[in-house]
This record gives sequence, C-alpha cells and structure tokens, in this order.
Amino acid sequence: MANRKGEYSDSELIRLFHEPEKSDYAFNLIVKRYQERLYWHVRKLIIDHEDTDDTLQNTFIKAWNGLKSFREDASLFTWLYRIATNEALSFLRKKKKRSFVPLVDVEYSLERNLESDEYFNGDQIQKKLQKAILTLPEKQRIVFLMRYYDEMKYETIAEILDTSVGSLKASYHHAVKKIEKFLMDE
Amino acid sequence: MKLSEIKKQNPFTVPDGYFNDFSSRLQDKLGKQKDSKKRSLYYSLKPYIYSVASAAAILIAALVYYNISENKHSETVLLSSEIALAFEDNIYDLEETYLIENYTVQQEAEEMIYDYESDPTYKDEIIQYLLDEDVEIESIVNEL
Repeated sequence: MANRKGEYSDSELIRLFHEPEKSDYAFNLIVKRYQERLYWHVRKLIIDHEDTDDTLQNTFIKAWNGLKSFREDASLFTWLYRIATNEALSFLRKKKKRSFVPLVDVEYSLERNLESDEYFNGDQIQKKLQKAILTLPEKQRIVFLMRYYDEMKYETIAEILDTSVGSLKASYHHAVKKIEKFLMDE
Repeated sequence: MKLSEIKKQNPFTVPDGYFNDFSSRLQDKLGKQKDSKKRSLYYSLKPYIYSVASAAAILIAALVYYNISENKHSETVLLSSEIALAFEDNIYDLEETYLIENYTVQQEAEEMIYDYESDPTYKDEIIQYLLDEDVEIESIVNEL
C-alpha cells in the first residue's frame, strides 16, 4: 500500500512486480527510484557517459530478469547496487580484453576519456582527484567511491561486495593515502 | 594536499533530459528483449519441432505402409482363395472343355483321314505311284 505521498516501499514494489499485469508498472517505479544513484555509481567507475548508459541499461535488464526470483534476502537497493557494480566491472574487463593491453592502459584510457569528457564540469582540482582515483587498484577504487561519494556505511558496502568490514576499512585507508600522495606529487 | 581540503562534489554531468528519457528507452529495450526471447524460444524449440514432425511423418508413413501392406495381403489372400474356389468350382468345366477340345481335334483328324481315302483323285495317284514302283497290279487291287 502506498504511503501518503503515493509512494510504495521497496517490498511493496516487489510484490506488485510479481503480479503479472502490474509488472511493468512496478518495474518502472523501481527504475525511476534508483536510476540516478546507480548511474552516478557506475559513471564514476566507467567515466564515459555513453558507456555508463549502456551499463545502466544492462543493469536494469538483468534486474528485470532476476526480479522474478528475488526473495528479499538482501534489500532491493543492495541487490541493484551489486548488479550495477558487477556490470561496471564486467564492462571494464571486457574493455581490457578487447584492447589486449594491461589494466593500467585501460585506466589510462579512462583518464583520456576524462580529459575529453564533455559532461565533466569540475575544476582542475576535481579533475586531478578523478585522475588520482583512476590510479587505484580496482577494489580500492570501488570502496573509495562508495564510501567517499555515496557515503555508504561499511556494513552496506560489505553486503554489496560480499566482503568483510575490516577489509573494506583497510582498503579505504590505503586508497585515501594513495590519493593524497598523488595530489601532493602532481 | 589532504583529501579533506577538497570540496566534495560530483564533477560529472549528463545530457539534458537524460533521466527523464532513460526509463522509456529502457522499456523499449526490454520490449525488444521480450520479442527476441519469444523468437529465441521458437528457434530453440525449432529442432525439437522438426524432430517431432519428422517422427510423426515417419510414424504416419509407417502406418500407411502397414495398412497398405495389410490390404495387399488381404487382397492376395482373397485372390488366392478366389482362384482356388474358382478352380474348384470350374474344374469339371475345365475338364469338359478339355475333353470337348480334344474330341473335336480327334474328330477333325479322323475326318481328314476319311477324306483322303474317299477322295478318287487321291486313290488314282496312289495306284499310279504303286504301278510306277513296279508293284503287281493284283496286290494293288487286293489292298484297295
């Protein structure tokens, strides 16, 4: 049942989705609720807008296909975030395979995308920060982005990435140190 | 430089109206996927459909062949029995026909012999032949 603002909870949307005649309606509401948050999460990982758009569409297509068997062991938000993260990482790995170059060159490619990105309006320090983030190893980069920009709790990040809170804290700590060193050196 | 000294902000932007259009573009893509799934379901079932159709065709052909074969066999049996019955029914007639034919041939042969002996021209020729062969006239008279 919708609240006073006419909004359904995640659980209600999932229940609606399981009613065949209301699936499209419920899914549309889920997309509208989470599209922006997931977009920005993916965008910071992939940098390029068009690639992010493709990845986000794939994320929701997978969500559509998987929602029929979704049993709410995790929250809808956590589940969607996990799909989006996996899709983004899958995109980067495919890109690495396609280019036949080491991951560092993919990061370099992302940095070049950043330089030429028409949908980037940050100042030089922001651009420098983004370049610093691109130097991080994959796991540290994801943890840093989720903690720093999305301000997620470690417990939530642990649930999404299926890892321990202690490991995440260590990753974030290392990430911040590397970024600050990069900013000092540049 | 410390990270805390940098203003936390999202430096990325999106094209105008992107989030307003996203949902409808996604629905289009999902619609195509649903159509594609229906088609792929058909294509994935296609070999099975052909297999089942082939098996059905073979089964029907086998049944038709079996029925025809059965009918042929029945016809053969019927024909054989008909022939047997006909033979049994007509055996007397056949014998009769055979006898009649034989009788006719024999009669004709007898008639031909009779004709030769009664024919005066033929008798004269025989007499002449015997005379030419120096057979005594008395012997010829006795034989005639």
